Amino acid sequence: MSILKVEDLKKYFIVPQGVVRAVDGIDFSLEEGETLALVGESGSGKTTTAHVVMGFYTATSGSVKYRDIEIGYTPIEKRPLELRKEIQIVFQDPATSLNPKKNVKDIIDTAIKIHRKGLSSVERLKFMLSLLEHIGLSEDLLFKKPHELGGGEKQLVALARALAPGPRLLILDEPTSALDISAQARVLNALKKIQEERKISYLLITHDLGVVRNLATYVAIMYLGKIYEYAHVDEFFNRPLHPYTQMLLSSIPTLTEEEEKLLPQRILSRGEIPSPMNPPSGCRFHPRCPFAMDICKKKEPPTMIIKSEHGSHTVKCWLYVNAHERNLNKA
Amino acid sequence: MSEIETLLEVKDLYVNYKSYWYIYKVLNGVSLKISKGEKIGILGESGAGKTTLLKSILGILPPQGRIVKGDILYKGRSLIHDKKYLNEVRRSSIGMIFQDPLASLNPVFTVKEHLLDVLKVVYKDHNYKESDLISIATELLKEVMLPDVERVLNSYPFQLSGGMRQRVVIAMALASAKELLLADEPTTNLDVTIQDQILRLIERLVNEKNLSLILVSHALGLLFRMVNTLYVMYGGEIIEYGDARKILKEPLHPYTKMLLISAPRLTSSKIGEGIKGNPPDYRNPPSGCRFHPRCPFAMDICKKEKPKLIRIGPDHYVACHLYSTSDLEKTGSGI
Ligand SMILES: Nc1ncnc2c1ncn2[C@@H]1O[C@H](COP(=O)(O)OP(=O)(O)OP(=O)(O)O)[C@@H](O)[C@H]1O
Ligand SMILES: Nc1ncnc2c1ncn2[C@@H]1O[C@H](COP(=O)(O)OP(=O)(O)OP(=O)(O)O)[C@@H](O)[C@H]1O
Ligand SMILES: [Mg+2]
Ligand SMILES: [Mg+2]
Repeated sequence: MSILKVEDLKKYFIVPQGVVRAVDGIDFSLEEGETLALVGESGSGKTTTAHVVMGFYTATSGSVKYRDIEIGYTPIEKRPLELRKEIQIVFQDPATSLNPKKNVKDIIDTAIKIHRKGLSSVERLKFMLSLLEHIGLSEDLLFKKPHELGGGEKQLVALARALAPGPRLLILDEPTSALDISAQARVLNALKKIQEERKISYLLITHDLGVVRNLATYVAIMYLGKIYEYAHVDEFFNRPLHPYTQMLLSSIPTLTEEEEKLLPQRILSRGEIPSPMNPPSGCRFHPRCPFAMDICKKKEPPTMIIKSEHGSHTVKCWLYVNAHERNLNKA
Repeated sequence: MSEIETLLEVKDLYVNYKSYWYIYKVLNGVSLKISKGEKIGILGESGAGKTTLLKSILGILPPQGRIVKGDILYKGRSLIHDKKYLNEVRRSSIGMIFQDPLASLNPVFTVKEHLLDVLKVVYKDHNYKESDLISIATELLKEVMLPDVERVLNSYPFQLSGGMRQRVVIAMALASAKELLLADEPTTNLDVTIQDQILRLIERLVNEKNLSLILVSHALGLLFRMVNTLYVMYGGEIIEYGDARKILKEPLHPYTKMLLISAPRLTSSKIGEGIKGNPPDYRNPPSGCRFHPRCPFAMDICKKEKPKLIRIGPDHYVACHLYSTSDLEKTGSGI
């Protein structure tokens, strides 16, 4: 049984200018103890997906199952405490997710108090100190308020708070983008270690493909509300199939020749950024795609399953539908 | 370098933060110089004081923060001692992209209201009508490649994705950056294809308008590509600076070396260790070299004396006692 299974999930927002199709029919599943990285275009619906799983928004349609229980339509305030404890999140904007009036100690302590009843205050403090140690936060921050912390320090506090209740599924929305390299390495190592020890599953949202390389088991590529490619992390780097994925990989600024060699030939990122209110017809990537064909403008590509060493590698692109079938589809 | 070319000079700057009980001695004698059209980068651990430095330049430290010593000169005139000049420079010469896009956007105002606020100040002397300003705002949003400009203008920050908010903040900064752009981790929330497009936009503006750029970033590849000169900060001090490519390839300071090894690489799934130990406690910073408690090569002198920045190569300076031994001085590479 998967810990998280999402099927044909849609989440639309109604705004005065029209309907924003933030998430527009996505499927994925996440197994116990594994990490699925959701990667993709800014504004493609990654955070929205995470927030539906958390219950901050309810789904427009489709299904979100946590261990076979439908949770997509249950807002957070209606979820039982046990479930809330099991699914935790680290937010994309650490600055605003921490209560500005409380100091670090109280912020973490509150999370421990709610979810670990029966601990004495000394036990809680001990637990907190070991947590800080694990993550690499200095104790002299305990009595600081969020506005007195550096950007990276805030993110580490948010991580400590999310880990405090002992979650089974941890959603990490850009967990390291605010961190410096050294803190990044420490947090990544801590996340790896915690996952090995406690078999927590991670739903990881990130723009940093270095982080994907180091933490993910599977990768899903999102573009404008849909998933266009899904693969095991090794497959993903060795054999990226979708033109957007190739563009993504080839846009990474690199430092060494070895890294440069690993990336596909440079496809210059170009084109207008399309709108989720009025998405392009056919394949939503076609206006930016260097390989776009006629059919790409007209028909949504099917999801093709490509054989690979590591389970299924799927890609939603007309390039991988053979010419014969493409012609049939045109007719 | 002649004085005329120098656009901004930070001279031996000391900044403290005060809280109810403590004084945090953060910036500890920071100096840097940037000339017209130059692009410099700042790299350093979280809490090193990078944002504090940029905020000091713009004169927007929070009330607890105070410049206790040193000076900041813009075109040779002090920004610290002349508030009127500071306001003028802030209004029409320098733009800043803030690190925390949400924190620099007020949740109860729409994007349009934010942009108009900035534009009204920047174009104070132009007598523009509101509709003119709205069309400037629209252009700015298009420039940073936001979709649905109409919707974005009328959105509240929470209705936008992280990357969209960040681009709004970039647009606001571009509005007032006529000479110098301060960019505090400008692209951390963006996917690499958009990051790439935004960087090319910044590069273009920097070249076309001959803007100078101070870029704070943790992304090494990005610094490698964007800046000429790199400053490495640790614990409120500049500990190494010089030609960016040289430093990224052959760092000298033990801190820089350890920092660079920690970077996650695409070539392997092995993660560096990170640097052991904690950043300095600014209430009571370590004596001598602030890095000594974490430095595997620390010697006796490191605890006693703060190392000076010395010149090691044509365009490479480092503050570390390992390099200030007598032989170096004999060969004339010392100051
Ligand atoms: N509460 C809301 N009301 C209206 N529109 C929203 C709301 N939340 C998100 N959106 C819209 O949904 C789309 C997807 O946003 P989302 O935050 O999920 O993107 P993302 O993939 O996380 O992007 P990023 O990488 O930039 O954080 C965007 O166009 C955004 O403006
Ligand atoms: N208002 C304040 N009161 C007390 N200490 C503060 C305040 N603002 C910042 N500090 C402290 O000053 C130090 C430097 O902070 P700063 O934000 O400049 O770091 P930074 O290098 O920008 O870090 P990051 O990479 O995390 O953004 C940190 O230790 C921080 O905790
Ligand atoms: Mg997001
Ligand atoms: Mg900062």
